[in-house]
Amino acid sequence: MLGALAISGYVLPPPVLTAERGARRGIPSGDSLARLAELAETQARARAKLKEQRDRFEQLYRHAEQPEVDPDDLVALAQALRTQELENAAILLPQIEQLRINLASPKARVDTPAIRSWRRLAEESLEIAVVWLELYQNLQIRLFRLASDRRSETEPGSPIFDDAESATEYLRKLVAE
Amino acid sequence: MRPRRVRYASGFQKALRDCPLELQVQIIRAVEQFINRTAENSLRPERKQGLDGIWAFRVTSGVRVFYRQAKDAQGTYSELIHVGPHDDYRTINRRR
Repeated sequence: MLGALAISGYVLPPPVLTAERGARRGIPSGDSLARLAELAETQARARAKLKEQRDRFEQLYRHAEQPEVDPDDLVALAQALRTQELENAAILLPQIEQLRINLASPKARVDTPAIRSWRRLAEESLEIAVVWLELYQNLQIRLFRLASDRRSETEPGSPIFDDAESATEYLRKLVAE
Repeated sequence: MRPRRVRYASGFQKALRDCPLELQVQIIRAVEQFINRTAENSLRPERKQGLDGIWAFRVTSGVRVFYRQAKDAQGTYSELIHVGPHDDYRTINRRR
């Protein structure tokens, strides 16, 4: 049976975002080149981690594609990923929130080279956080699709319906069974 | 407008049966609207980024039906493959 145990070797802890550092230490002032360099380094690590997580999920999917993995196992795997996704979201969403507050503050709109650089890093940080969570979602959807295809080998789906009445009647009967 | 043609893959049927009754009612209602194209603004059918040929429409803010397009002799139809929880982090990102 696949599930939480099976994914443990394929998931990384969520990346540290510049958002978190921004929240702790505020938006850089004009003389903070060292600070910007540090943020850029954090960003580069987050980007690399995102790529590593994407690669690991590809490996996990290739493992799941093996013919001996049955549809119920694929669904269990997707559900374990959903649990993990929510744990990651609990960590990343507050950081996203803080970053958005920082980006919306008047200080963030000051037009200096340092602030412009910081804004670019902050916006990329938001994107990394969202894509990180979407990696989880996309793998789940691929697994559900694979499970559905495997299930179809033994359990045919419905006919094709041309109208809503017969299509919904079919579903009402299905859930009433 | 011409209704959408649909087919339910076995994965969708199983996922629907596993949902709570109240949600099943909402899903069936959303499928009806999807076929009749009567609530495109609330269903928001969209192609999923990063997924080859997978589309989704909204049942509630946190539940989506996933489908793909297929063809037969009569034309295109939507094959529903799964229904389940799904958060839109891009919307959350914009909304907050």
